Amino acid sequence: MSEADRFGKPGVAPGPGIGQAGAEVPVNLPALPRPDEDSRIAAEVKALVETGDLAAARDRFDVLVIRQQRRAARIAYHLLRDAWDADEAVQDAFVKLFGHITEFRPDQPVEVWFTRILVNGCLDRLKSRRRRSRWLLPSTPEPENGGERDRVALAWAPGPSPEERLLLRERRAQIAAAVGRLPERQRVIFLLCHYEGFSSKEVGTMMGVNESTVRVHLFRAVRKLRSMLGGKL
Amino acid sequence: MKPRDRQHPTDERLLELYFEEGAVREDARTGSDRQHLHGCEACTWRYTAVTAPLQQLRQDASSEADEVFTPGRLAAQRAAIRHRLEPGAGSPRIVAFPGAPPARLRLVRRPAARWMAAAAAAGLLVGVTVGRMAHVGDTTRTARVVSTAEAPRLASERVAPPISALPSPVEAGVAEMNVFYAVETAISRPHVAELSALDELTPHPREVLMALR
Repeated sequence: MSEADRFGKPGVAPGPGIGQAGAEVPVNLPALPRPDEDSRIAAEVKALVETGDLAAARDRFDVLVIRQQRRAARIAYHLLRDAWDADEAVQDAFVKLFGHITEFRPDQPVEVWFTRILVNGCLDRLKSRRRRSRWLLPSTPEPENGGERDRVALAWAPGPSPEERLLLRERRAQIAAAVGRLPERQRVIFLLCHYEGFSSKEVGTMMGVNESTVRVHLFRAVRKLRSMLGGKL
Repeated sequence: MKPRDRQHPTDERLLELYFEEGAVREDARTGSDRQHLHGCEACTWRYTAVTAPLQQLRQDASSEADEVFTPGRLAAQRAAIRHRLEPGAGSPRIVAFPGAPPARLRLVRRPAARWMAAAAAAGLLVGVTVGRMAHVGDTTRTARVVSTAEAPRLASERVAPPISALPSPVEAGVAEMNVFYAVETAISRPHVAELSALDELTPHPREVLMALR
């Protein structure tokens, strides 16, 4: 199967959203009325690639990476709960975005398209992790934030006292566990809407569902979190 | 309930208002609830109480990720992305042959483990059965030895008393049975609880005798 066959071509009917089959690099998103700075940069990168100036395209793409990277890392980290996995997922998403930049439509916000690619990649990783976990058992529990180096770095970081840090870590672990217990769709919607501040419409576009469905899932997620966390939320 | 109280939005509704904040279009109900919220001190206080933990949650989540993805790490990530976009970086990667599983992971084939457990249980069952049968044979031989050892005693008894006093075969059998019962009673007395399972597996003399007959 060719890349074009796998990822579809621009101009066809709206494809599946996040977490649905065949939604790896969706390019045919419905237009949203927000031609932002990032989309303008993406359009420039696309033009440079089409003219064959790949070096200049990569330089311009760097700017887009800088603008989107922190948010992408946060989303991937909250979905995967593993810094190294999140790192790879973000890299893969940016590489895919560049590889398919010629399919970008300037009337779409690139942020929405990119987030959809990223979230699909993260969900694929989660799926393969679940498959692997059927065959492999960790012999020692790994810290969630990526290992010994991170732990040492955090221990020496200036700021709150070790006790405060411990309490904070416990609270975060409880919240992360509660968020992790949400059904996949509710979890993704909660992370995108609440943590990252995407609107219901944007998340609906990413996931291929309508705005009211997003809101229903969001409220269900919040209700579940409130019941799971009790007084903490 | 006063008519005015009926207008107070519930906690759920306050959450909806929180998440609908910033929405491009708002319906009439949302508009009136928001208006009420601005005018009602109690509801404003409740709104803050309901939404403050959510805001804290977002802040925590954001700072947690930022602690992990430091500027240095983000710079390294950017360099890696840039490297992967360079010409030639897209050529097929040679993946190292997995010589050994990663150190932190231990291979556990669960279905295989289940089969192994079943095979081990079956093996144990067969072993116990065969062992038991073999033991029956051994006990038979032992029983014969015992009866041979008793022969001199019976012979000496045969010398003194008259022929009429000699035990009949039935009496000899009864005496033999008594001996076995005495041995069995001694064995079956409660001793060490841990050995009771082993005792269960050991054929009793009475069973051996019955089998011989």
